[in-house]
Amino acid sequence: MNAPLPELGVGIGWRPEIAGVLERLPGLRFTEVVAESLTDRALPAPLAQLRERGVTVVPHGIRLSLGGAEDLDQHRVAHLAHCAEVVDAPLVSEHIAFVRAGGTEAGHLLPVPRTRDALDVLAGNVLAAQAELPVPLALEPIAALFDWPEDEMDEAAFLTELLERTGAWLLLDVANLYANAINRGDDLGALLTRLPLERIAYAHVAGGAEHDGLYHDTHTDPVPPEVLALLSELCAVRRPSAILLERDGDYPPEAQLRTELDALARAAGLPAITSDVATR
Amino acid sequence: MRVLAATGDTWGISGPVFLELYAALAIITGIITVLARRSLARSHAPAPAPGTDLVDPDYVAYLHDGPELTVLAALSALHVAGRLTSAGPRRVQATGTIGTDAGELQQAIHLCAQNPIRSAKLASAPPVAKALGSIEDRLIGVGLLLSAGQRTRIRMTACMLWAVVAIGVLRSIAGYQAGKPISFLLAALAVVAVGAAVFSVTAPRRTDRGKAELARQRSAHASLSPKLRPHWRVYGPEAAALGVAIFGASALWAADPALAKDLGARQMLSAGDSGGGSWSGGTAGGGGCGAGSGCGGGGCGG
Amino acid sequence: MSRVELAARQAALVAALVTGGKLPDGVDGARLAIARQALLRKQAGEVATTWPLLAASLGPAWIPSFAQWAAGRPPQGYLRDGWDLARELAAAGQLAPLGRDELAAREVIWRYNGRSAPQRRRLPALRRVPGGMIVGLAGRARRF
Repeated sequence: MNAPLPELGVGIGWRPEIAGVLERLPGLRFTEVVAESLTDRALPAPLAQLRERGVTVVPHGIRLSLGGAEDLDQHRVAHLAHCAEVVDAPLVSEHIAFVRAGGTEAGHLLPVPRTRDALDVLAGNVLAAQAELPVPLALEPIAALFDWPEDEMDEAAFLTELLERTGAWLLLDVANLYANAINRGDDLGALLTRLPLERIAYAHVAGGAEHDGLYHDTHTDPVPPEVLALLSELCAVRRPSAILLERDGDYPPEAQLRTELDALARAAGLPAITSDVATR
Repeated sequence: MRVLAATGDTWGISGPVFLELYAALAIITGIITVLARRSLARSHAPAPAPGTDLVDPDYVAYLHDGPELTVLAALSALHVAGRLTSAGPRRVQATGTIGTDAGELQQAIHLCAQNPIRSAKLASAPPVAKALGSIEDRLIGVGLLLSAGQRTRIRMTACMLWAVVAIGVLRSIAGYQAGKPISFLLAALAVVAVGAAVFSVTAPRRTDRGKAELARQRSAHASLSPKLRPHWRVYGPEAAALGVAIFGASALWAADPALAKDLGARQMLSAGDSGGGSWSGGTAGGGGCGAGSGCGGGGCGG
Repeated sequence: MSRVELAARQAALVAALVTGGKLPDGVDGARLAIARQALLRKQAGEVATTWPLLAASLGPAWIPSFAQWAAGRPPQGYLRDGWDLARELAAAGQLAPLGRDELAAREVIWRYNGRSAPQRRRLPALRRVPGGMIVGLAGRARRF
C-alpha cells in the first residue's frame, strides 16, 4: 500500500503561541495540529493561512483512548474525522495508549499492557475508529515511565502485530523510542531493526530532560543530541516522508527554534526549512 | 364647503401631517449628514508608494488609539528588551542603556524614566510629547489620520440636523402659543437633538485609508492576536509592541499580566472563553486540552 | 485477561496515579510516584494557560502550589481545576490581587457550584474586588 504522505520534509507542530514562527518558515510544507484544540467553527486565522499556502496539516488526537477497555467515544472519533475534513488532511494520528478508566480522566497518555487480550481490545478500537475516519490512521507508541507486570511481548512485537491486524500506519516518535530504551536499559542499536519501519507514515522528534533519575519526554526542552543521533540512524535505514518537531511549552526565542529545526534537518539529511529553496 | 385645512392649523399644516413630514426630513437629513461625514473622512493625501507600508509599531499604535496606547506599546517593547522595569504600582524605571536604533519615542521614554516615574505621566513629559506629536503629524501627512481641521469640518455637518431641530422648535413655539398639543413633536425634537448633539461632538480619528491600513495590519499579524497567547519571549520586543499596537491593551494582558497590572493597563478581562484555547468539557469531567500546550505524545513523564 | 479485567487494571492504575489509590499489583511503586509528580507538573502548566493571572500571581510557586493542591484529586478540566484552587486560596485569604481579579471575572460570567460543569450566566453579575468591582455582562467582564 502506498505511504499516505508524500515527501514533505521537516516540520514543526502548530501551536497558537508560536503561530508566527511557522509563518516565517519558507520551506515549511507540513505541520500537525492537536485535534482536541480545534473546537471553534473556523480554523485559527494563521492556521488557515498555512493551508492557503499549501502546507499539509495532519490532525493529531490525544484523548481518543484507543487502548482503553471502555468503548470508543463516537463523538471523539467524529470530531477527529471532522478535523481531517476541515484541513483536508491526507492522514490523522492518535496514540497507542489509554487516557481514562473507571470514569476518571488521567489527563495523560498511559501505557497499554502488552498482552494478547489488551491487543485484541486495542485492535478492535482501532478498527472501529478507522471505520469512521475518511483518511488513513497512524498510531504513535508512547514513552512510558513504567511497564505492566503482565506484559507478554516487547514493544516491537506488540506494535508489529497491531499494525498487521489493523492496517494502520506507524507514527514513530524517535524521542519516545529513546526514552523507553534509556529507562528500561534496552540496547538502542537493536531497537530500530525490530520495528516495522516500512509502516512509518511520519516521525516525531521532541526534547526531554532528566528528573528523579529517569528521562522524561517533556516536549518543553531542547532535543538532546542522542535523540538526533537516533534519528540519523533511522534515516540511514529508512527515512520517513515527514519529520515533525514537537514543542508544547516553555517556548524559546524564535531564533533558537529555527536553529533546532536546522539541526533536525541536518540530522535527517533533509533541506533546511528556515530558508527559501529558491535562494539556496 | 369642504375644509382641507382646519381653521387654526399652525402654519396651515395639521399636526399629524407635520410630524410625518418632520420625521421624513429628519431621516433624510440624517442620511445626508452620515454620507457627508464619510466623504469628509476620505483621505486626499497622495497615494503612498508601493512597499512603504506601515511597519513601525509606534505608528500603528497611534493610528489605532492615540498617545496612551502608543506609550503602552513602547513600554512593552522596552520591558521585553530588558530596558525598563516596574518600580512599584503604576511606576516604571529605565534600566541599562538604549541605542539610537530604538526610535525616537523609546529613547524619549527611556530618558524620562531614568528616575522612577508614573507611567501615566509619560505621555505628557516634553520629550515624549514631542515624539508623539511628530508621529501624529506624520500620520496626518500620509493621509491615515484626520487633521484637527478635518475633524472640525466633520463635526460641523451637524449644522444640518440643528437646522431641523430649529424648525421643530419654531413649530413647537407656534403650536404652544396656539394652544395645540405638542408632546409628540417635542419627543421627535428630542430624538433629532440627540442625533445632532452626537454628530456635533464626535468625529472619527482615522481616514478611510487609515481604517483600511489598521484592518490590513490585523490580518497580516494575526499570529500576534491575544487569543493565541503569543509568547513575547519567542517573538521579541518589536513584536510585543506591534501586538499591543494592533490588538490593544488586551495583548499586554495576554502576554504579561503582571506587567499589565503594574502599568495600570486598561483591563478587559475576557473571561468569556475558558482561557487558553478550547476546553473539551466532555462527559466524565473533561480533562480537556488547552490549545496544544503539553498535550502531545510522551508517557507519564511527558 | 478479559476485557473486564483489563478495565479493572486500568482503573486501578488511574486511581493510583491520580487519586492516591492503592498501587496495582506488580507495578513499580517508585516509578509510579515519579510519574505522578511529572503528571502534576504537566497539569500545572496546562491549567496555567486557562488561569494565566492566577498562575502569574503565584509566580515560581505556581507549579509546586498547584501540584500540592491537585495531588489526589482527579482532573476535572482546566477551567474547574483552576477555579477550585482559586476559590480555596481566596477562602484562606491567600489569593493575590491578580488572581482575585481573574476569579471574580470568571464568577461573573459563569455560574459554578463546584460539582458540575460551569454554566454561562444569562443575567449580568457583579463582584466586588479590592480597589473596585468587576461587572460581567454577555460573556465579557470589565473592571471598574
